[in-house]
Amino acid sequence: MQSNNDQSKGSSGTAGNGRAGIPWIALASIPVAAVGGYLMPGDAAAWMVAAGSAALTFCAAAFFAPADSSPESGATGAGSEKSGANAVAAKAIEPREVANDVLVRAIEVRSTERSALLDSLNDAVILVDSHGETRFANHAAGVMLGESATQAGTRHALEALPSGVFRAVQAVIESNGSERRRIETELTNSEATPVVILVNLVGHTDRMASVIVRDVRTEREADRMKSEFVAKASHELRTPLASLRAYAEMLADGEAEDENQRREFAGIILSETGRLSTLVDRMLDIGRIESGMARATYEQVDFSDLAAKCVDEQQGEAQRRMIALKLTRSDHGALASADRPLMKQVILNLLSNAIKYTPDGGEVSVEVDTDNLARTVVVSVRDNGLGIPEHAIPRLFGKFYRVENHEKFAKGTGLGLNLCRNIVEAMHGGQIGVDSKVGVGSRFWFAIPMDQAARKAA
Amino acid sequence: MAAPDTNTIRILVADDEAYILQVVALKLRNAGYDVVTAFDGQEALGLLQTHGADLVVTDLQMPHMTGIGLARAMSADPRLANIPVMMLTARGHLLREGEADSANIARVVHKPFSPRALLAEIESLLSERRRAA
Repeated sequence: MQSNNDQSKGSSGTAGNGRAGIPWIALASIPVAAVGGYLMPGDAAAWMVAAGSAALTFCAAAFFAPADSSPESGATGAGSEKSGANAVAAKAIEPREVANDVLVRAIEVRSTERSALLDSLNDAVILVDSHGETRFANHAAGVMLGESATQAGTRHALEALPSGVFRAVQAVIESNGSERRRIETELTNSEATPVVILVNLVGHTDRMASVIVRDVRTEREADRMKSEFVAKASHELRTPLASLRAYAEMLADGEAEDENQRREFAGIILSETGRLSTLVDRMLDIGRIESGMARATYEQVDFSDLAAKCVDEQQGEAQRRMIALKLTRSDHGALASADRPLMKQVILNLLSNAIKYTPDGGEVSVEVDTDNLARTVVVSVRDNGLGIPEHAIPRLFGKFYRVENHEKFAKGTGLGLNLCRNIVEAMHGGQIGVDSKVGVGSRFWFAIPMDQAARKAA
Repeated sequence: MAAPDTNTIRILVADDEAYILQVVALKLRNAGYDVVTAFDGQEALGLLQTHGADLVVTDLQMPHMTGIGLARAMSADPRLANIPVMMLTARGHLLREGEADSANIARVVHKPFSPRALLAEIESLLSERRRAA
């Protein structure tokens, strides 16, 4: 009986935990006869209730048995291995007490369930004792730190982690739970994976600590993209600001040669102010869509009608550039559930780009089709303009990307196509793309699902 | 030796932003300098090799060849290595420690800048150079 309070293992149950605190380490580490002897006086059902409501200490004890505690448990310390060992123990008990066998099996199931639960986590979960030896390590620990790190009864897991982690484990155990540690570090693997490591006491008397290692590459990548966005945005904001400041000062200093030049400077100030405010609007629109704050109002949109209106609106600019702008194909069945103003914004943006990057005298055309197989409405804007080099295409719909040399032709915010992609893909479950050849021209197209169901499924 | 007449001083200005290029060029021409303009580093380098210059004012971020690339190419060319470079940049922090020294970048001016202040910087740099000569 008393032998189950084997303090030398540093993990046995105590009065505070009652019977529930004792069992697994005890079952695995003490002679089978003693297990039977201990359990006999107890009522199995009451015991199960106690086990079910036990503190984490029990869970830990239940399946984090030290590897050296039982020859059958082997050296891996994995939960599944242990159930085999327990089965052996259970068999040995059987002749003495059938109820014990039932109980052991019940605990086994519980143990298997819990280790399966821990194995399902992406975070590495390692239980270590005050010597830094692993008592348990889940599947993710093996993936993250190497298979040898999961070997129970060794220090391989802590050795695979930066040295500060063992000190943290000792400090947390010494503090008896008043301290918990959070360490931001990198794994010493070839990729120097950024991780956050949490060290907490497990139970209050067992002198064990849980070490949870979380791979934060995705979070870091998101942070990096956010910083990159801020850096690029501030650069893009400063560019028109630089013009505003310079031309305003030139006017104030009387540096313009004549009335014509003064008017020219004022014109630049006006257009740069417009560019700045478009830039801010687009940044806000994209931010709203990406954060899921943007709400679209869906209605049945006749894309042929909408495209015709957009062509009319851009006709003035096209004529100024002597560009032939036409709606060359329309389809009366081109109806889809969409947000009309947003769809108009996309078509106008594609049209205005086509006009901007097509030399004077060129041609721009709009086509509206239906793809009955894919159940989409497809709008295409073709031009015989500059065309886009192949290497630029993958980045074209990104943020603040502009094709080299195109900047000389026309100014842009570098956000127009990204906003279009957000509207088409994120808000409508559609698709946007481009086919282009340098010196020949481009075809920008987008496809919108015809019905709500298709959109929702997207 | 008397200070040279500003008319004989040639400044090459490089920026891919047409409005900035135009305003800097105008400010410097109004101040009496001979100004040559380029839209990127490569064009600037070509113009320097054929026409030479006493000072280069360049944007940092440009297609084909950046301002840093231009300054480095100048350092590597013995005919251009002594021409001081003034860098215009909206992102001063991208100019890492040592980069300015290694590539004969004499001054860095941040955008948005005042054309008046830019001119004052150019004049102070040129007079510094004259004193040193």
